[in-house]
Amino acid sequence: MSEQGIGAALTRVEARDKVTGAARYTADVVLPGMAYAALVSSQVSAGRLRSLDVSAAKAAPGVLGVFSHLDRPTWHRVPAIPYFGETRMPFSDDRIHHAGQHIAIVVASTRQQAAHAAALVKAEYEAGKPVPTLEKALPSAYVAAQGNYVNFPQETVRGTPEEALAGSPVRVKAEYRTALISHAPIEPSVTTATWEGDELTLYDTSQAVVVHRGLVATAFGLPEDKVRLVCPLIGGAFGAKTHVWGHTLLVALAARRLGRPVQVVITRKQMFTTTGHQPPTVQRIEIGAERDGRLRVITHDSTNSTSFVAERPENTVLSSVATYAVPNLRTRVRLARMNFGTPTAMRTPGDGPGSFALECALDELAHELGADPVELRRRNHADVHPQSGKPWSGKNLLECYRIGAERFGWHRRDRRPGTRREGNDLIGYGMATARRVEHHRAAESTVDIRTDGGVVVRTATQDIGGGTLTTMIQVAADALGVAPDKVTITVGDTDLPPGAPTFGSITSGSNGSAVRLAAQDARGAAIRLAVGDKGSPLHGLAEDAVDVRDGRLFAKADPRRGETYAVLLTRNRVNPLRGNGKYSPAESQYETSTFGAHFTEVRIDRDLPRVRVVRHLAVIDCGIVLNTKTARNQAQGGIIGSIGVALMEELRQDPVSGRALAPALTDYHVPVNADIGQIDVHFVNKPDHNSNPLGAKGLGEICSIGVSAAVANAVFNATGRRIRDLPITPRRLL
Amino acid sequence: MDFIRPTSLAEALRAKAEVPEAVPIAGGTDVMVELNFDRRRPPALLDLNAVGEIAKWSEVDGRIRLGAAVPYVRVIDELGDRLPGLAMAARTVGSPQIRNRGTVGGNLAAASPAGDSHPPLLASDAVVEVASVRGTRTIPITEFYLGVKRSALEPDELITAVLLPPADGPQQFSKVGTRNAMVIAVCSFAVALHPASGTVGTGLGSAAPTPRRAPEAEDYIAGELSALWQSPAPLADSVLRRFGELVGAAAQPIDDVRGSAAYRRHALAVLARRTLGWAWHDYCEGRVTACA
Repeated sequence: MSEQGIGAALTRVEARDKVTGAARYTADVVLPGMAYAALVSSQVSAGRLRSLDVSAAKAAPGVLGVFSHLDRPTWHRVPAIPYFGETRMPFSDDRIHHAGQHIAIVVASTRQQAAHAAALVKAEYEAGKPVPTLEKALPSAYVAAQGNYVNFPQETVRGTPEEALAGSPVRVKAEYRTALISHAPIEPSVTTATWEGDELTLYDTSQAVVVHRGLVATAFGLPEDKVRLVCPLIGGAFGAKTHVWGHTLLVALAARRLGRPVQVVITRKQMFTTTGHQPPTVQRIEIGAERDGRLRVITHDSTNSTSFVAERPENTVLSSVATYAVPNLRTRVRLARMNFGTPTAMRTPGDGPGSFALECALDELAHELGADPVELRRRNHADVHPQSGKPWSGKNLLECYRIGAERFGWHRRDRRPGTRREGNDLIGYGMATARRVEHHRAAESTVDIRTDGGVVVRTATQDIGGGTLTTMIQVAADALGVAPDKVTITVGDTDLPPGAPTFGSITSGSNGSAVRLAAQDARGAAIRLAVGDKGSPLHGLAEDAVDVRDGRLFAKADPRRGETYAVLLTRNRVNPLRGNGKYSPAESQYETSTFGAHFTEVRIDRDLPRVRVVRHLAVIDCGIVLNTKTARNQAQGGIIGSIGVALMEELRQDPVSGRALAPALTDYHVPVNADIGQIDVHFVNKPDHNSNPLGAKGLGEICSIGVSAAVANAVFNATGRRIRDLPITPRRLL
Repeated sequence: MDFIRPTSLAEALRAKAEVPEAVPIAGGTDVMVELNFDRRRPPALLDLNAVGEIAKWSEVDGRIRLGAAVPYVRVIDELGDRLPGLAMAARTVGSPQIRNRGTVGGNLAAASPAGDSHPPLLASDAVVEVASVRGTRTIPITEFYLGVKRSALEPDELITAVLLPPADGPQQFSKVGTRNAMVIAVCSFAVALHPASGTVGTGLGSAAPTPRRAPEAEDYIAGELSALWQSPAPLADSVLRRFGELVGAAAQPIDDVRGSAAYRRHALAVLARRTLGWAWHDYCEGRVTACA
């Protein structure tokens, strides 16, 4: 931990506002003359609209306008994807691709009037025959051509996989399934749109205001600088707000037509049907190994559902490509289209479901070999990236295993499943590896030092609940040599220097690097100002002879000689002194990833048989940790979310229509406090400067990867039952 | 939608007589969910929050008269010793906020097979007191539930109270959910021992179109216990299992998003076996009421 901020366990700066209700979220935005929208959803999952009668809705009290495909909205063009969810623009035609699809937008003077009028819109359908589920779609699964979301190799071959399999003394082969799951953030998606002439301002629940501005501008045929996106705070997202979805464009369209600001807060049900989900997957894995456990070959064949208006493969197979040293490999990803909403990124895209399959298969192999699961993984450690052969920028996975096994008490695990009992409970231990590609993106920031000694960080990233506001302040404070409480931050506005998206675990590394560069720039400028200023006690010193601490510049050789930023800037009438930071990730000789190891203890009431995760330990290698308190909190949240994925989360579909049976939080269950046992998080906490100047890497995704496999492996250890389908419900264990 | 807010029971009954389609609302923990999900659009809501007569409990002729609008939190705080089974069930309802608002009367009016109060009411022979401008009558709990979300309540009637004997022996309640709180029961079970009469009451939740008892299980266990009330001894595992099987057999569950019929039947048998074991253990230890 540095003295000035990085690593300090600071309470998040917006904590008080959040717990007292003072925090302003997007739905709290109220503009003069603002109207309210409600979206009308398709009741059928396939076919076309035969007619849409909006007369009653238009005549309802307070209604200002009703828009649908009948109004033939003229979109400039489909925004570049990814990050726009679909290939079809909303209201383009009368086609229905999924239940819940927006078919009309009703705008009224109040939210209640809009909701009431939306219920008066009468749609008649020419219902088509839907492809309801992944199961039904499987026969027409296909390998997608590159383009759009299809931005990773759909098929990979390394060595001679078939020969290697044939020659393997030990083989395991199994099929794993993950469920259709939903982000279910507390805050639903919200957009408020307002036009002034040809300039559009959107207050939007966006995980990437800068990226989304470009998409919105494209849709409306506007120059980017005519669109402003503002996102004050986000109440959870997990990927649901990674993309621009139809409601955002429709509200902007309605606001333009009506000439007044319009806001929509989409319903909880619409959160389940129109802002993406993680698609269900069917994954077949076969592993061939030597008797000593060394892997010879992995084949990983994965199919996930997608919608009829987007091709979005889940990169599940990267787990097999990039985790272990295996000389032979074959992977393939296929898509199967079903009549459901478009899938999207959800914590953790690809590696979440992919690691479930791979890490369970490794556990099956360990059992087959009579080997210890940790030892098996150690033996197959990838010293370099197994596909590219490049060195890792930083990798402490072996240390994760060592620390994890020791802290967890892994040696107490009995290799014979179903042997440990206590009362009615069966007890099992399980573990899994976590690995995630560290993504980088360009990001910019400014850091201003003011004459009162205060510091302002400005960067168009956003805080989705992970603690970004606080960590960025710590990065600036550290680089400037000021106390973190002197620093304030402004984010979430495209009028600020373009920051990084808050998805893909990008923020800490990329945006943190931009803030650090900006703060270093400001610090350097201040030092240059001082040493060149005859009025400064530091006058005449070499720049590198000066250090800064607690906002005071001083001579390293004589710390009594110095002055504060405030005094220096006031005397020189510089207010503010601005530093600029621009981080541009360069082509690297390294492969950059984050790593981790999960260890979990389950107890299963053998009669009922409900699985409880009573103890979980994650050891995470994500470079230097910027704030141990917010990081631990974020990791615990990610682990809890994944325990939900392992044990309860599934958005079940009607087998005929494909519609979500219970798109509501009353039945889509995520864990509550009473479900959560002890969750311990340990960070390796070594900076990875080969990754970026800050040495910090993303945490949001790595903490979730492998948890569901660790739970499933613990369930096997407890019961001898191998559950290969998520979630692991009592019904499946009975 | 009209909103009617009477300030006395008499006024409430008149309103209900005039607008029988008016949906009574007390805590709103069921009604507001139904409205929010657009499952119903009643022409009027009849708000009972200002009707003081039904918001209190008292002891009348040796029975607890629990006003229909007494929230769960008061059952837990004030009646845990006298109505332990109901208090245990109340503790499993929703969240603290829901328990502050939700009422046993509302649970009865909704008559959902999954309602948490029903099993303990069944197990302890509760009586539902209902009133209309025509007068007051009582309905034995076993005759109250008629079908899924249907009850013996006439359109002009309101539930005013539920009458329960204070526990005369140990009571237990147990519930399986898909998580540990904020959950609608996958299935639930209540048992009440009545040493004075030598009988055992049962109640099954989320097990059939209506909450119900398991008469065969009750008869069986009453027979097994008949010789033991005076000289308590631990029950054989085979007896507990048989009791569980009979409870499971009494269920007519369905498959739904929360659980399968087969799982429900199985889990009910487990809950019945365990709760009876706990209650009988309490009896053997001389504890009349369980530590709720």
